[in-house]
Amino acid sequence: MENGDLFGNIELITNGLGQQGSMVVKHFYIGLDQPLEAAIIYVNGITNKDIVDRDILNPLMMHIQENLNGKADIGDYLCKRYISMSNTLVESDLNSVVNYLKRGKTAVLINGATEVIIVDTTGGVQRAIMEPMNETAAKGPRDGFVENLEVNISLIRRKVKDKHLNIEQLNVGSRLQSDVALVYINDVVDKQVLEELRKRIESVNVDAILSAGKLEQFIESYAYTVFPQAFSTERPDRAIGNMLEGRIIVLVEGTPMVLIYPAIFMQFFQAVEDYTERTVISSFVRLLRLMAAIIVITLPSFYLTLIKFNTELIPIKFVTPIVQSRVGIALTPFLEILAMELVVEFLREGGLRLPTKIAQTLSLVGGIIIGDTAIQSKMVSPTTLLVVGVTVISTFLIPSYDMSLSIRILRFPMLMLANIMGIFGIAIGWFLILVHLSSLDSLGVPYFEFHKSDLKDTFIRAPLWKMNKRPEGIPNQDSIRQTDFRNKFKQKR
Amino acid sequence: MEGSANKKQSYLSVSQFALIIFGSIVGVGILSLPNGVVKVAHQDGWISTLVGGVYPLYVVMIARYISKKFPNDSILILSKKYFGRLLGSIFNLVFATYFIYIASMIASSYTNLMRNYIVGFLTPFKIIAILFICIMYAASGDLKVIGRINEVSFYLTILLLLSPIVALRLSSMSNIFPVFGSGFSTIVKGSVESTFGYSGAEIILLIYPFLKEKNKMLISSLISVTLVIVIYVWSVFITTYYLGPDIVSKSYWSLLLVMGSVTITVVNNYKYIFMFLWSLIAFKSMSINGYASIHILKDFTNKMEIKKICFLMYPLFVYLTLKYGNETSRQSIGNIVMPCYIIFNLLYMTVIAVFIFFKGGAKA
Repeated sequence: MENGDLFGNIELITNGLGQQGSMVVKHFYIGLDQPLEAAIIYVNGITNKDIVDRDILNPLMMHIQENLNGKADIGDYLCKRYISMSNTLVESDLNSVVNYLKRGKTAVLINGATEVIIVDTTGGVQRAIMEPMNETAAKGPRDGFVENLEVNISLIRRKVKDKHLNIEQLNVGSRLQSDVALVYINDVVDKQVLEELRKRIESVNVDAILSAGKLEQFIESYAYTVFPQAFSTERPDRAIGNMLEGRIIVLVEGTPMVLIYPAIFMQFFQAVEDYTERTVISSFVRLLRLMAAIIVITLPSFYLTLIKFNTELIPIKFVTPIVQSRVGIALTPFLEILAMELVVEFLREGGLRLPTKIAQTLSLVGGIIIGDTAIQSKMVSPTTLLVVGVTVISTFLIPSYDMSLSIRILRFPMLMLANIMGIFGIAIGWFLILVHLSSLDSLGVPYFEFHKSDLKDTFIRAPLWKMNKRPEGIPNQDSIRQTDFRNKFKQKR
Repeated sequence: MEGSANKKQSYLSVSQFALIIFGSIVGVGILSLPNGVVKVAHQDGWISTLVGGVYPLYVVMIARYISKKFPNDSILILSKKYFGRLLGSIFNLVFATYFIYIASMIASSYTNLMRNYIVGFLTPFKIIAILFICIMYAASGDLKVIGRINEVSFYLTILLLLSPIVALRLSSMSNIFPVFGSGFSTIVKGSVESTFGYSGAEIILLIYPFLKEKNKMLISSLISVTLVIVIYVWSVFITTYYLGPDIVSKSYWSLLLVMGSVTITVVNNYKYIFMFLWSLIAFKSMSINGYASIHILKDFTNKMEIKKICFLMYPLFVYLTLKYGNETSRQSIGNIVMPCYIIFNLLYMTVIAVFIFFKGGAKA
């Protein structure tokens, strides 16, 4: 503040905040004899008015039994003596004051003083912490991230008591000025990866990022690949688990989804329950998921090559039923499979945004009626429908929504390749996928690379007590996660 | 992509290094390897294969010697240094044509194989044209990319090559008896034949500067070459054991016949699954050879852009591969060209090693 002129300062702040109607200014007097003129300013809707009334206005207006004229450091004095709140500070820079106001804090201005008291009155209505709808776990915590950045940070902070937990705040978007927080463990995270991530986020120059998904696309290296280069989750326990492996959590204000960098391919096949369930069971489920991914990409195209080119490969007992079911079908095998795959995609895309009650109708009409009538009307053969059905079910096994979308897309080019070149096309397709995956990286960390010691947690999930080291695939400073503590109580035979 | 996190990544890990060597040697050739060897050495073909393993071991030893003196310079730089700029470049170019030759040879063999068994409806041109698009895509990338593909395909190779283990119970001991029965000289002749199967190990001379842990170079390359020898001997052995020395040479791809012994419920024909999966292995060995040739050419053309070289090389590869024709003519071309290249390679690296020995090492 340039000078202590109350009205001038209010004018400056009003300009800084923009001429928005939601700003509340209240003038009042403080002190005895010759009361000082003062004012509080806050932005309506994002502040908790009860606190403003009870803990700022009440003490300042009612309880000051002294003459404050000419008092030096009046802001500091008032904070220490009258404002019965813990989170207060004295600020004299106009821009910071405006920034605080935008984030729900309240400013107290006093005539004649160049400093402003900032009181944390953040509040307003927001969504309660709920179980995340997209990622549920039978065994495990039920809390999920919400739209509020502070709440999200507190969800992490509450669980991580390590003194090396670092929370770094950045600001992105020229108009929305959304807060973005990088959360990591300082002595675990790899500094180069962190530096790279920070550099990329800081260089983003757009008017708004609105959601984590947009930020992800602004800072990624490969825009045209189908594979996600950041892992997103709604679960704090999952985010923290990843952070402990040396990754960085990126929280974006206004999104109940956090991004985790760097991401590696196999991570998308790991689910929360892998670590809460027993070793054998979760290893089995993991293998199932990988099998599902392979089925999604290969099965329709493999079926196509079997019935189009290599009929001699069909097991002898299946030949008759398959041939019989195809009698009188007008579409070529390729069109038939493609049509069914497209219908499934229609159903999925259609069902995605429908209200739950109508979605039931959709699944009834789509799943049962279309499936049945497609066969009756000789559009597709039952075997094709079976193959497409198995493929669709397999897509649901991939735990990450991002990855399941990516893998779902891949079956279309595969189908084309198989239609043109038969099994050779499938081989080519797989080779291209492997080469493409190998050439990707997430913030410089190889996306698809196997390390011997990480195999404990890749295709299977070894007993947790065996994973003494953090994954090698993620660069980190401190590779030791735990010691062989079981030796202390394991009986020697 | 900047930062030292990436600098560290541009080096090969030990396993990637070893598996690139492995992948470079083991390609489509193994399917027809028993033919040539058994034709000469009869039931002792597997011993010849064992003896033939001397060639890759020699290459490893030379590479070890050179890399000890010049850990950061590949053979391309050394050749220019010792032979002079012009002569060295010419030798390098010949070395590049060797990899071009190998890559196109594998492609031709693969095309013939696939057309014979699975995709008879495609013309050779279609297969080769599409094949090399993929190979160029893979070869234009980083060496790390090649390394990673090799890691994946290695396990596939082992799995596939161990699958004919079931043939053990179906065959007769008389197929390989008497051991050493064909005489010493035929075994040696057979081992010369098997040497051609070991071609590809020369890649080590190009990639040793990229290895992160230089001190593990010898052990890792020895392990991988030994693994190759074991696998080759195993393939020749099981083929002879299952088919008998007389039948082996009747088929172009005798190892595939052994795959016929594997029966899996529901699956009608294991051979096809084998060939489908083996495609990935063939692609990867073509990519390594493609990568090697492109990078020698890059050095030759004074750091021309990799993409441009790829575009220029693509028609050449396709043309060459088409020219080899069917399997018989391809094999007869191979019988003439391959020995020349093997002799050239031996001379090329031995002379460089000798130069290093006499002219002294690192100070130059």
